[in-house]
Amino acid sequence: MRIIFAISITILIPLFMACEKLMIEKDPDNSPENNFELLWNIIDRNYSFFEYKNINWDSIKHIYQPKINDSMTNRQLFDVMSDMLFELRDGHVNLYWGTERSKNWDWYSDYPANFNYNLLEANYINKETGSIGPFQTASLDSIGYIYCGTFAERIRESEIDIIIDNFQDMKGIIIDVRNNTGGYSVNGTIIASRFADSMRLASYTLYKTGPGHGDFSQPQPNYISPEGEKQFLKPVVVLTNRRTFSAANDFVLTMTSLPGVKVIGDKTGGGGGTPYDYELLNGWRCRFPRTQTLSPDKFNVEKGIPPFIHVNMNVQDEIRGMDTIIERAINYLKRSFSESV
Amino acid sequence: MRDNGLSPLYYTGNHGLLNISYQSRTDSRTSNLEIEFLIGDITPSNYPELSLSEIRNNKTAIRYSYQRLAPNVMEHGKLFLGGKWETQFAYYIHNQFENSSMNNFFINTLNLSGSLSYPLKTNEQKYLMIFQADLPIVAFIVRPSYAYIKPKGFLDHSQPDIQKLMNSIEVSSFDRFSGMSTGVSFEYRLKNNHSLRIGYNWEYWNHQNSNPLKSATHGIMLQTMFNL
Repeated sequence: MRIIFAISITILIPLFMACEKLMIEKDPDNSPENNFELLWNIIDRNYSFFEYKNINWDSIKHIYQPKINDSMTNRQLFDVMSDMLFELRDGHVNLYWGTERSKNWDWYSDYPANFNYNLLEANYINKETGSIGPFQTASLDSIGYIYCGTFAERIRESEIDIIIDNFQDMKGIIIDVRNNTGGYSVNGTIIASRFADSMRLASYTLYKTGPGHGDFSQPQPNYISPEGEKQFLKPVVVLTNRRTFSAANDFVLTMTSLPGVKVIGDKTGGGGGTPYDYELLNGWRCRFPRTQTLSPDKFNVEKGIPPFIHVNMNVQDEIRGMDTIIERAINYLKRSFSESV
Repeated sequence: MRDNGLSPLYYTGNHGLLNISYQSRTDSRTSNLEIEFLIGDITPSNYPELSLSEIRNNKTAIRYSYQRLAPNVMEHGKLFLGGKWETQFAYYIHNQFENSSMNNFFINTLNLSGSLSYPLKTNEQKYLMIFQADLPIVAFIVRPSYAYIKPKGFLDHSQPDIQKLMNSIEVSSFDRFSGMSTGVSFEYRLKNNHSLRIGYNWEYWNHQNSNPLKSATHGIMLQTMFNL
């Protein structure tokens, strides 16, 4: 009796292990068809802008699925998948294969550059210039100028505090985020908090909550509050172009919620969704947005934020060594200052 | 494990586990309080050679069970029945991901719990064979619906912290949360009344939301039990 009991108990263990294989099904075979199907499904369930961009993802599948077969090479598969993802027209959508990455450049490639770093370096940030962390600063005729070309590294709060302290006597400040394609969103919050007079609603975030194309959370508010040792509450201009993207786009949105802040230049490149990673059976990775960002008045900033004053770089100005957008900003700030005095 | 909130792939790997427990045992009842720490790395199971992905998996669990003797069920063995409360917090980090690299869940379950203990004797050595099984009945779950994304209301600035937490709790039963924990162990009592125990545990659970999470664990356990 005891032996029967012991045997029956020990038989249960392999039984449970066998059940587990039924309960947690294994991954499908690593075939081009399965990888394509997985990628299509991942995007279908998680991508956040199907409805906003009016994309028919099913019809896109019908275009690209016939191009997939078991005998194709990795290169061919990568190209077909990249072409399919390109249909999303989204700078936050990438497919990674080792060091190779598919990209979409549409958000800026069809528009004027509106930025010339050589000109900036030669004629603006070289005068009484300073470099603090990722910031390059200059004093342009009693106007403080800050160039921030990237948010790829986290900034230190002390860095922006030093700049704000140095610029306390300026008539206004220009923050130039042209060609800033993003990185850490928190950088934008840290900078903007030095220009905030009180706690203000800066944006809303919509989170994907289900597999349907319209399954989103209620808009979650994001606020900006004063932080740091000192605030700069005089007029501020933010310079933008089409390569102002992603976290830099968020920064521009936050700044527009503050009084006395105006945007001058070209429309931003957008990129209002936070990108998240996924992986495929063959080890490739894809990245795409799973959130949406709205302005306080519920304007979707995915396709960019229009400037308060639209200005393009003028070729004749460039030949004369002038940045049309910076010059316009300086004039605007001087006029704002003289009107307020 | 497969957590569709993080990856569609099936991940497996080995973990180290430390379990500290206090057990009170009489002829008519047993109660057990334990805390458990688990850490390990898991990789895609089917095609590990194709992927550089690795998830660092960390979990802490606290359990309390209370069981009473069911009378006159077996001639030699003893059947104990009761309940178990278990809370576990896990977070894991994917080495290849950026914004979605971190994921976490907090699960609190009330379980039906039972154990069979049966004395065995070989070559004058006395053993106790124990078979235990737990079945979750109700689960309180805080699990972000997507990786590293705020669950609804969880970080809403306009609400007090406690209210945010309460809003995030999902109460589930068999329809959305199911599982089972079972195991068998052999206990050898030493002459000084302390015991040694070797055992095997198997745990499975399944949370169904828009990103299903399925997890199974096999554990080999070596325990030293001090009679206090």
